[in-house]
Amino acid sequence: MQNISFTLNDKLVKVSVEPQETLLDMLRERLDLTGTKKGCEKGDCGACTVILDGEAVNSCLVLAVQVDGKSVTTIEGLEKDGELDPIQQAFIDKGAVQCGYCIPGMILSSKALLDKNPSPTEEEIRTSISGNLCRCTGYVQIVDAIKSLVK
Amino acid sequence: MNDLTYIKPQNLQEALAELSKKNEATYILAGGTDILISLKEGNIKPQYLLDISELSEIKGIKQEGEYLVFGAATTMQSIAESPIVKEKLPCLVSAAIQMASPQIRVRATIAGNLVTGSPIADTVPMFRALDTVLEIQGTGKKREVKLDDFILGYRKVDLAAGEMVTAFKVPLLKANQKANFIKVGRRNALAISVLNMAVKLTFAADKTVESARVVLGGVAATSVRAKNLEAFLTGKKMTEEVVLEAGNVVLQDATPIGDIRATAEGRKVLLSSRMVRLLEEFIN
Ligand SMILES: Cc1cc2nc3c(=O)[nH]c(=O)nc-3n(C[C@H](O)[C@H](O)[C@H](O)COP(=O)(O)OP(=O)(O)OC[C@H]3O[C@@H](n4cnc5c(N)ncnc54)[C@H](O)[C@@H]3O)c2cc1C
Ligand code: FES
Ligand code: FES
Repeated sequence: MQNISFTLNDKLVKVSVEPQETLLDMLRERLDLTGTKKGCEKGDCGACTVILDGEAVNSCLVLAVQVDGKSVTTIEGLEKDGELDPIQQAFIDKGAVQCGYCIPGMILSSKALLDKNPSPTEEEIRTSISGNLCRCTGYVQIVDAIKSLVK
Repeated sequence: MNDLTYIKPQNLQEALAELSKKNEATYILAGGTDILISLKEGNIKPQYLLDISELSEIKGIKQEGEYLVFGAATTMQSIAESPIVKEKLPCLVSAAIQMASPQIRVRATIAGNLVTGSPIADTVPMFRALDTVLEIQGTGKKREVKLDDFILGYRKVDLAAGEMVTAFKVPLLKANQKANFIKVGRRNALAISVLNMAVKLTFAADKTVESARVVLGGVAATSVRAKNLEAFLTGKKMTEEVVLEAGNVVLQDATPIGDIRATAEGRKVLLSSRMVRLLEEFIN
């Protein structure tokens, strides 16, 4: 086991992890943050997307030990004082959520984009979620939701 | 559970020292987008994972004389965003940006893409066509090798125990040179290429091709130089007829195989037609 400490949703946490444990497994199994979804576990679906030091990454392809000293944001970190993040609200308002499995990843991919670039083009929006598969919605409402936040 | 140890060296010297101390079960971890999958699938059983992904000495892009030098742990994302690459070698931006997804591009490194040794690695044909020289280091020694010579066979590269790739030195394009890349995938995002190809042409004053470098990926066990096509183009002017004929000539350079992504016949048609499309941009 290896001890690591990192900032998780704005709070410092300390965890003991196995060297081969993925960030995804640590979040879900040790920290009970099951909002980060487990899909393919090989980088294909994006359901496990989290933000690591400002960038959207597949948490199934990052080792837990690698986030030592870094900052991780999961879907649980978006709500502030009982208020949904504007991106979460926009997804609801635009009817972008069906079964919901892909949505945490979709939201974090689009948040990583909007945090860096508050005025993305439609193409940039589509690119930002190109690593997130949705089996239900056909992406139209998802793109609309993100577009509604463009400044 | 095997006893794996994760090591994160603080600098390149330390990384090279660790690499020389340890044994065959020491694996370099860069972006992890290939190796962590092999690890999960049990295809490799590392004892040590040496994380080089944050070593500043082997990250980033800078111009050194006639070369653009890419640290081996430079990510696809940093290539795609680099103003100097956009200006000097936009063909590499095009290769990097078509790879995988944003989440992968932000982790995946150029050395990982190369050393994995996949025949369809997306950045390898372009780096090869550009006549890239690799810098390789072990403790106390440094050598350079042409990328063409580094690739030995299917998933086999010229790296000795204790060595790692530290930089890619890419000659800048001269005024009479032009290069480009094309990827043919079934889906844009996340498609591992069905085929990819890269070309660099050098023109003489009379606009004939003085020399050609053409590299094909996905047609054999490794990426390959299209020697017949290179010879065919040399000495010719890039006209519509020449480009059309090139689409036939390239089939002498490749025996595409069928697999789950495409049939052999389908690959041939793709290879011809996309080579024509790629070369059309060079008509002058
Ligand atoms: C969902 C998904 C989609 C993908 N799509 C594409 C695609 O479209 N095109 C494509 O080309 N690839 C694709 N890949 C494959 C992969 O992302 C790339 O090959 C990537 O560039 C690997 O780099 P890495 O830094 O992640 O390598 P790692 O996984 O860290 O390492 C790969 C190998 O290289 C070795 N290595 C790494 N750095 C060095 C070094 N400096 N010196 C010596 N050895 C080294 C490692 O030991 C390991 O054996 C995809 C992967 C996934 C998971
Ligand atoms: S679970 Fe990580 S990408 Fe599918
Ligand atoms: S809403 Fe069901 S997978 Fe996207």
